Amino acid sequence: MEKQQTKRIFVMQDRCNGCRICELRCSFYHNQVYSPTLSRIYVVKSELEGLTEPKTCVICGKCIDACPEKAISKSTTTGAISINGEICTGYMACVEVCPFEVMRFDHTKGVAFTCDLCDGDPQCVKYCPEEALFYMTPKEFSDFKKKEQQTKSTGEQKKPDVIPQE
Amino acid sequence: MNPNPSKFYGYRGQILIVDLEESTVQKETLDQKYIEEFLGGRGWAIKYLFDNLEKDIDPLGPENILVISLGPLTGTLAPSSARYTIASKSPLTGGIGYANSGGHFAPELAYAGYDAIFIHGRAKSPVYLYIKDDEVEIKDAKHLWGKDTWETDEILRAEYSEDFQVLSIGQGGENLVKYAAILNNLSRAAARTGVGAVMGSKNLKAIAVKGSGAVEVAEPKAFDSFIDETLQKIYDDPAYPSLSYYGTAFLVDLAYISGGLATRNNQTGIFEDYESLSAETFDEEFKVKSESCFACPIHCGKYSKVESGKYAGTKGGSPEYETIVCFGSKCGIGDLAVIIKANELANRYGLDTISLGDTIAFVMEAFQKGLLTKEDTDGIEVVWGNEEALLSLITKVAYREGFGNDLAEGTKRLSEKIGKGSEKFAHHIKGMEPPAYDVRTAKAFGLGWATATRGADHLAALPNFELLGYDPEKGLEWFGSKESVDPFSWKGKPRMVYWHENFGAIVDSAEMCKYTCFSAYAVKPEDMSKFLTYATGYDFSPDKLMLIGERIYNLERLFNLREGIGRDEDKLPPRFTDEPLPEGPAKGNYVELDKMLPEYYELRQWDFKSGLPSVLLLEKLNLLAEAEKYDLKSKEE
Repeated sequence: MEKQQTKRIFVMQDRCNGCRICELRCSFYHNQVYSPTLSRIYVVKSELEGLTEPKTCVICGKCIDACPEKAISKSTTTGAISINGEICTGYMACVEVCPFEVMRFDHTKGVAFTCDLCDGDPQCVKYCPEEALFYMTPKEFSDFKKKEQQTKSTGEQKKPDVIPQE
Repeated sequence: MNPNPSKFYGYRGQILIVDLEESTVQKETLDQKYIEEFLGGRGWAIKYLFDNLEKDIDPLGPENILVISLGPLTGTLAPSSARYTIASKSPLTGGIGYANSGGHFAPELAYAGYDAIFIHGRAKSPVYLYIKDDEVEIKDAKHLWGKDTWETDEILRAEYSEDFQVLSIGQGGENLVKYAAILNNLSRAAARTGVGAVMGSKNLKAIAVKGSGAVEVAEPKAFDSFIDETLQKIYDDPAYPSLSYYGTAFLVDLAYISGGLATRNNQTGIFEDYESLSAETFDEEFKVKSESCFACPIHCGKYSKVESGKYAGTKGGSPEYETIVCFGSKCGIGDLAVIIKANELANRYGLDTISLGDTIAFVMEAFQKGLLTKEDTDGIEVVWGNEEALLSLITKVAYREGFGNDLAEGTKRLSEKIGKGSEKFAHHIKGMEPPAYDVRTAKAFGLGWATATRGADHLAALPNFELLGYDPEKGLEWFGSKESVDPFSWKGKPRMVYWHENFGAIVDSAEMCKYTCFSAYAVKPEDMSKFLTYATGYDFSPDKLMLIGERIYNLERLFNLREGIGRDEDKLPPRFTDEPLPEGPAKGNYVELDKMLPEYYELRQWDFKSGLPSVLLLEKLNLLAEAEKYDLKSKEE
C-alpha cells in the first residue's frame, strides 16, 4: 500500500508581497501577543530586488537526527515537528542544523520551537491575504501548480477595473 | 484610566529622549496625560513641540526638536497600522511640520519597547542612533555621511544584521534642502514639510533599530475578532480590488476622467499623454509585484522595473500617484520610465517628490513666460516635457549645486527671488507646494488644502467621501447636504472637511493608514474606539476620540498662530480660486473658497476676522492655558 503523504506548508514565492501578516497570526495563535521573534514563519526580503520569501518548516527532519536528547519527533497526528519541552535542554543543535533557519529558540524559556502546523489548521495559510501559502500534500501542491501554469498560459487571469464600477 | 498604570497594553510604555548636544539618551515612562489627551503619533508630536519649543526659533538651528512617534496599535495586527509620525518645526513653512510614513520601521521600534523618540540639539559631527532592544547608543556616522539612503540602509544592515530596520536621510537632508525627506525601506518616505532637513541640521544621519520583544493587547480575543470583522469590510469595498492591484496609480485615471489631471503647473486638467501615465500602462509595462507595508491587507505599494530603453534596469518601489503627476503631467512629461528613474533619484537623495516636482513645474512655467532663461538655469532648457532637465535638476537640488541651490529653497522663496509677477503661478500654501489632485475638481480637497496646518496638504482632511460616487442620501446623513457627494459642489464641504480633519488627527495618532479609514471608510470613529479600547484597556469612546482629534488640530493651529501664521494664510494659490479650468469635464470650475471658509470657521469656533479660537472652544479642549500664554484666544464672544 502506498504510504499516505502528510500535508505541510508550501510557498508560492511570487505571490508573497512581504506584509508579514503570517508572522503576526503565528505569534498571536501561539503566544497571544504580536511578535515576529516568536513566529514560526518569517519573511526574508530584498527590497532592492523586490524579493520576499516566507520561510517555514518543511519537515525535513534534520533537527530530529541532530538532537542529542532525542527531544524532537514527528507529531503522530499532523506529522509536524514536535519538541518535547520537558526533555529539551537548550543545546541548540537543532537550531544550528536547520537549513532554513526556522528552528527558533525562546531565550526566556530556554527551549527550541518551530512550526507545529497549528494542530492541522495553520493560521499563516488561513490568513495570507495573497494566498501565497498552502497546506497540502506534495502531490496536491504539484497538481495545483500545474493547474496554475495552465491558467497563466491560457491568459484566463482577470484584472480588476481601474475605476471601480458600482 | 489605565486599570494598571505600571503595565501597558498596546503602548510599550517607554520613550527615549535623545540629546545630541550632550550625547545622552534617557529612557522615561510614558506620561498618562499624553495617552489620555493626545493618544499617540501626531498628537504626541504637537504636544511635545508646543510645550518644548520657544516661538520664533530657527527650524534648522539646534533648538528645534525632531519627534518620531508611534501609536497604540503599532506592531499589532490591526489593519495597516505600521505608520509613524516624524515632526518638527518646519523649515519650509515656519509652522508645524510633520510627515507620516509606513513600511516596516515603526513596528520594529515598537518591538524594541519604545513609543516615541524625542531628539534635541545638534551633534558636533555626523552620528546615527543605534537601537537594539534595551541598548541605545549614539554612534559615529562619518562613514555614512555623503551616502544616499539606499547605500546607508545597505551599509548599516550589513554591519549589524539583515533584520534591522533603518530610516535615514540622503544628500538632500545633509544639504538642508528645504523639502528633504526621511526614507525607510528604500521607498517609504516621510517626505513633507522638510523634516529631512531638520534631521540633517542635527547631524543625525540615520536610526537603525532591531526589536525582539512583543506587543500585547488588553483584550486579545475581542481585538482579534474585531480585526477579522474589519478586514471583511476592507475586502468588500468596491475600490479595494483596484487600489490593491494597481496601487495609487489608479488615481491617475480617476483624475483624468474628472478633468483634474494636473498638467503643466495646473494650467489645465487634461493631459494629452495621459495614456502613457495610466494605471494600465504602469501595470503592463513596469509593475513587477506588490510590496506591502507591515500588516497591511491593502498593499497599495508596488515594486517596478524598467525593462527597456534609456532607463532600462531602473528598479525599486514604484512612484505613487502624487509622484507620477508631480514629475509627470505637471511637468508635461508623459513617460513612466523617466518618472520611475526620477523617483529613484528622489528616494536615494531623500527629497519630497511633491515639492520637488512642483518647484520644477513652476520653473517650467517661468520659462514659458520668459521670466527665466538658460542663463539663469546653468544652461538647462527647463521647458515642458524636458526629461533630461528634470533628472539633472533633481541631482542639482540634492547637492545644492548652481541653480539647484535656488530650487532647494522651494517654490515660494524661488518666486520671491524671481519676482516679475511669478508669485501668481507659484503654487504653495503657507510655503508648502500642493499635491497632485487639481482641487478645482474636488472642492472639499480645495478647502482642506487651505486649512491644513502643515500647508498645501491633501492628507490632513483627505475627504475622499466626495469622490466615491456615494448616494446623495448618504451625503445628507453624514454632512447635512445631498450635494456633498458631488465633487464639483462646495455645499456640505465645510462640515466634511471639519469632520475629516478631526478624525484624521486621530487616525494619524493611532498611526493607522488613512487608506483604511478614508478610502474604504472601514474604520469610523466607533470602530477606531473598539480597536483602541481593546488594544490599550483605556476607555476611548468615539466622542472622546473626536474631542482628542479636535484638540490635536487646534493645538497645531495654536502652534501656527504663535508663529504668526493665521487667518491670512488659510488660502489657495490664486490659480485655484481665480482661474477656472479651461477645458474638459470640469471646465469652468474653480474653488469657491470664499463661500466655504466662513462656514468652516464657524464650525471650528474660530473668529473669522482674527482667526483666533473662541474661549468656549479652548475650554472644551483644555487648551485655554496654552492660548492665554501666547495671547491667542479670540476677544469675540
